[in-house]
Amino acid sequence: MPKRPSLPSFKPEQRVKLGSLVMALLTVIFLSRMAQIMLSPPHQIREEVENLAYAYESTRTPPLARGLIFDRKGYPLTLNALHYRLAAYVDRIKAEGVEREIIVKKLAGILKRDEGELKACLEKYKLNADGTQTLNYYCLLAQEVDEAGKKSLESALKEAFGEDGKLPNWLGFEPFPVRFHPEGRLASHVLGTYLPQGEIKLGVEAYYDAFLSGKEKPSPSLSVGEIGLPLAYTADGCSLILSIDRDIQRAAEAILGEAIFNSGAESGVIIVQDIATGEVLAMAGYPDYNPDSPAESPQEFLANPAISSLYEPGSVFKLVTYAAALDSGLINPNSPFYDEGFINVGGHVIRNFGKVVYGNVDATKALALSINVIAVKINLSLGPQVYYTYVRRFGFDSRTGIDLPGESQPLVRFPGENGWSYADLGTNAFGQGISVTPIQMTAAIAAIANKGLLMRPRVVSGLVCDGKLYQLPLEKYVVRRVISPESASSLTQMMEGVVEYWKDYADVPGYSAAGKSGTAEVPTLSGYEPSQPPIVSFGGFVPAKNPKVAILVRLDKPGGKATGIRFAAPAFSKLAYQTMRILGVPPDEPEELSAR
Amino acid sequence: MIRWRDFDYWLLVATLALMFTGFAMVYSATRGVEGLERLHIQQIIYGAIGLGAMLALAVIDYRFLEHFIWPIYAFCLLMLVAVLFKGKAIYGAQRWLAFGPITFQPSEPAKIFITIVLAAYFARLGEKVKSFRYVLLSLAIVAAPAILIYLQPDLGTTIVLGVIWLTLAWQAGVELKHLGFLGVVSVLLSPAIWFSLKDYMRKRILVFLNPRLDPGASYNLQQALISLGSGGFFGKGFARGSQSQLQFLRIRHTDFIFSVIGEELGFFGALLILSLLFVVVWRFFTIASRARDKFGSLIATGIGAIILFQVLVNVGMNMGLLPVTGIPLPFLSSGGSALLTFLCGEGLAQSISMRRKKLDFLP
Repeated sequence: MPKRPSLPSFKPEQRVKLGSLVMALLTVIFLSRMAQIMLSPPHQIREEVENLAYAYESTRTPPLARGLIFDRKGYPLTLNALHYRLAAYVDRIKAEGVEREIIVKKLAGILKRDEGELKACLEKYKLNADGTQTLNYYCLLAQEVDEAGKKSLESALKEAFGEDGKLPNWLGFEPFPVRFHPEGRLASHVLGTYLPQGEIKLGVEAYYDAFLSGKEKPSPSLSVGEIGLPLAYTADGCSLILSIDRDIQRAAEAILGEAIFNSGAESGVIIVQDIATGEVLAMAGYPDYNPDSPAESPQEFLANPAISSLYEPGSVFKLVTYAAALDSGLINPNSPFYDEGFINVGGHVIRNFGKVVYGNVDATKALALSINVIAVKINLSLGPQVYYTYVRRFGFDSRTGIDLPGESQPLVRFPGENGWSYADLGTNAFGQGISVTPIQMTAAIAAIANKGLLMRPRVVSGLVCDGKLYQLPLEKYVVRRVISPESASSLTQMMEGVVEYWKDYADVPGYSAAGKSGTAEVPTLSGYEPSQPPIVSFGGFVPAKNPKVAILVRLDKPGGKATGIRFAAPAFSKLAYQTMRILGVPPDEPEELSAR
Repeated sequence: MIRWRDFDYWLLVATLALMFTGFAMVYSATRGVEGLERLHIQQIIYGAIGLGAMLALAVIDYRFLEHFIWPIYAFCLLMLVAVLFKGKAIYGAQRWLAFGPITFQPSEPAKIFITIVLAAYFARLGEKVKSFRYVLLSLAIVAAPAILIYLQPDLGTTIVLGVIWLTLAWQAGVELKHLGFLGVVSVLLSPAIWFSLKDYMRKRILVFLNPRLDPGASYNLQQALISLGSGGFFGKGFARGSQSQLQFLRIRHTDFIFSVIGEELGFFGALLILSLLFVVVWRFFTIASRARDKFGSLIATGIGAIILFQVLVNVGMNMGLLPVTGIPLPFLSSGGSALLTFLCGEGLAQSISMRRKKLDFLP
């Protein structure tokens, strides 16, 4: 049998020798490398290392572009730009002595910085806090320059230090991405800020950070195809299409500013919410801040009052009482009431605003005149069980879940909970003794306009990722049915009565409108002080016959004898009219317009 | 019968010289660094314990271990499983087990344990080593602990286990065609292995191949090269290296201690240290060649190979010849578990040496 050719098989001693040979070879390679590194002139290895560093710098790619923010029509509200730091890499400055001083002098001239300060910054060694010295390798020459600033600085620096038209290797412009806001302060509370270095993150910038930064993509099943909007800018991360309408937002901010000026209020909020979808069309808060430089504003201006600032809603909250009474069949809009001017609840005597006694009224009139005693009477008849069921249904037991960070939890005491007393049933009827957020109150009013269906409010209507639009289906935003469509329509009719009664303040020219005002005393450490300025508000919707938007106006601590009707209702009226015009809703009471 | 005449004093002297250099360099590399000031003291304590353990193991007959191969193997796996579940995470990796105030890294003794187990396995195989089935079985013995260590994740030690297997398989006489076949298979599998690597591991390899990918990762390498390159013939003197003293060089008391040696003790110092390390390896292989039996011979070969491999990889990494893998320099790098492990390994080798084939007359 012929021997099969095979690989050589080594004896143990041969194997040892072969292994040793491999090791010896490796050792020789290592030793020669070691000699090369350690015995060649020092500058040579230094250069090898420096080349590594420069090679990296030249291949550095710009950071990923963060997603942009557009309004619902595609107008850009937040865009990206590159700003630059100017840095000196001190360890690369070869010049010594006088030459070094000339560099410092020239730099001080170009940068308009203090010479002594620059000299210390460019020193070869720097003194640490503990007294030790370490090699100084970095000096920040200019914190932040924009593209234009960079251009002019660059040419000046090239002229001073340039070698064949290039910056010297010890100078570098280090780009970093910044956000800028073509509409300035518009909707600053909604947009929020994003600072790559700092940690001030608010608004949708914070809430949708994972998508904006490109870390996350929405589920493909949520894609609804093409965007349908002409977006002039693109980004690597997902961009946001806000539900905010730039024009309505602008109108809201202008009218809020005007109302605050007229009333002498400290601060204020306006929210405009779309009835059918629950989307927020405008969310204005004053004081606001400049999103391009948030650090310049006091910290408390950065918070969005529309979702974070709790207040006692006052008589606007009577809507919940009347809704409960209508829906549970206790009253209808014509139910008769008698007002004695006061009522005793759990040992507390409650009187009407201004201590007025109204006598015989019907339910519609009682709401229009905002009679506290009647609202309390209704609540007592409903009983805590029924009344608080409706308070919960309107969503006052929890946050709305709007897509913004920093929403406050409402402060409502429910029966059985610590601190609730029977007197609360009375005071809650006219919106005292409870604290809610403006967005909650707006959503509740929108639910009445939406035939009793409560929608979850939101400020982002869709994400645009890689040219595709992603949206959640509308049914995801339906919270619950609060009252029946019939009750909603009865209540709407009564709210129309309110506007009709106060038409000098609240009427919306050309459009039917429904609403309710509120003037709430502000609790202080010593209890409710009627002498202190109140919080006045007006909430309603237009057109009453076929509601499109709900609007809430809140003014905090206006001067003088302020009421919701006097100061908040005119702002509501004006904004409602302008919003109808912006949305292109035809007047449903055109005769009003011709009568004017 | 203990024959102290056959105790390998060359090995002991070289080890002691390395250890003391190690203490000094760890001191130099960490002095003035908050939180690390006492690291060299800790190293000395571990060294003292290790020397005691080495002498104790030298006295004990290593052949005794052959009876406990499977318990040793089971204990080793148990430790490695425990570290995955109860381990203390340091630098993002679960490698440490804590017993009260003492923490140790089970993957270090695992190297020795697996060497013993494999040595016993191959020694018992005899001529069956020519059969591929048994080769595969030996591979399975290493695979279990290797996977556990890989999961920690510790790529460096996983590779060391592979080297132990390869060395022992080679020395035990596994057929060249079998080794070649396994080599081809692993080359074919390498894409799959590449994608199963953790991100940090892939990054290190990529950065090694192309340092411009990441300034942070190539920073260490740059600084190591600068340190070595600035040493010159005689170095800047003990505790006077600006690179290490000014803390440009990171993880300098462990992975990059060789660069500190190069900077402060110069080319001659580094050469001396390397020579001492090669003396140690040479003694291990000498002990292996003179061992009484195949079991002892394979243990000494295996541990010698671990030391040689770690020296080459660590020094190669310091010189930019190999990727940064976090494999410490034996006897020198700071790290109690590693020092203790190597001293115990040396104890085993001494035990083998003291019971070597009788070439001389008994007194």
